[in-house]
Amino acid sequence: MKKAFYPLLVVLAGVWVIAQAQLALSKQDYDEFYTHVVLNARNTSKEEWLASYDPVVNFVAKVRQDVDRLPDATKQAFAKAVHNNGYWKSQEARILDAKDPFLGSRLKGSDDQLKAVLTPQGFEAYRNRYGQRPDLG
Amino acid sequence: MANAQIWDDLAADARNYPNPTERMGVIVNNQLNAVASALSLMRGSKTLSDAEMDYATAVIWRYTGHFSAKEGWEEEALVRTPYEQMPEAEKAKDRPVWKAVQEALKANPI
Repeated sequence: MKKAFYPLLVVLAGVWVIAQAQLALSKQDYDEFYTHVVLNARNTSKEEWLASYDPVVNFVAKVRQDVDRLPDATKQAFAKAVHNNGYWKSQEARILDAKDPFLGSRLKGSDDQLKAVLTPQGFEAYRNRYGQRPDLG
Repeated sequence: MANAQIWDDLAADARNYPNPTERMGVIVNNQLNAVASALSLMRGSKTLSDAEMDYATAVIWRYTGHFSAKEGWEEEALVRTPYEQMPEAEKAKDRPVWKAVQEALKANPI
């Protein structure tokens, strides 16, 4: 590569760094999300619920982008914590609750449908709970 | 290992895949939306109380915690449950996730 291009590369790298910095959410962004989006969200009608759909989903997607930029070791630490202490316990509670409205309706589906919405662990728990004791389902 | 429940088992199992790094990326990514949902409430200037976290998590998960997107209102009964009337048992199902992220954030400040 010709040396004449080096300054251009430096400029492009600088632009990229600035763009990345601008993508990161600020403390104020989080404050505004909580105060103006979360606390104002209502679900007493479909219209009310939908009014906050994009603001909630889009903000969480931006946070996810920030999470994706974390070092791999940090992402793994968070994923491990959620998996071991959070996600599994939460899903287990839902799977063991036959009346759970989030998973309950899906438990009426076929095994293939269930595999599409459950983790492998969740599916195994479902089979342990209901597959071997159909009388419980 | 179809019913691996502990992370270390999943990580060990990843080594049996043709591309262990790719598999590890998949199992990490499977958790990151939940991490992002919780972090969206933990990086502001105010530390939310447990009750505030429960409420705010209920709000967020009624948008992100199911697979029906904007059809959620029709298809997910829980979406239609007013936030203020969310039973304690329901909050208790989601609480372990944000608590786990809260603890992980203390150990891994970002």
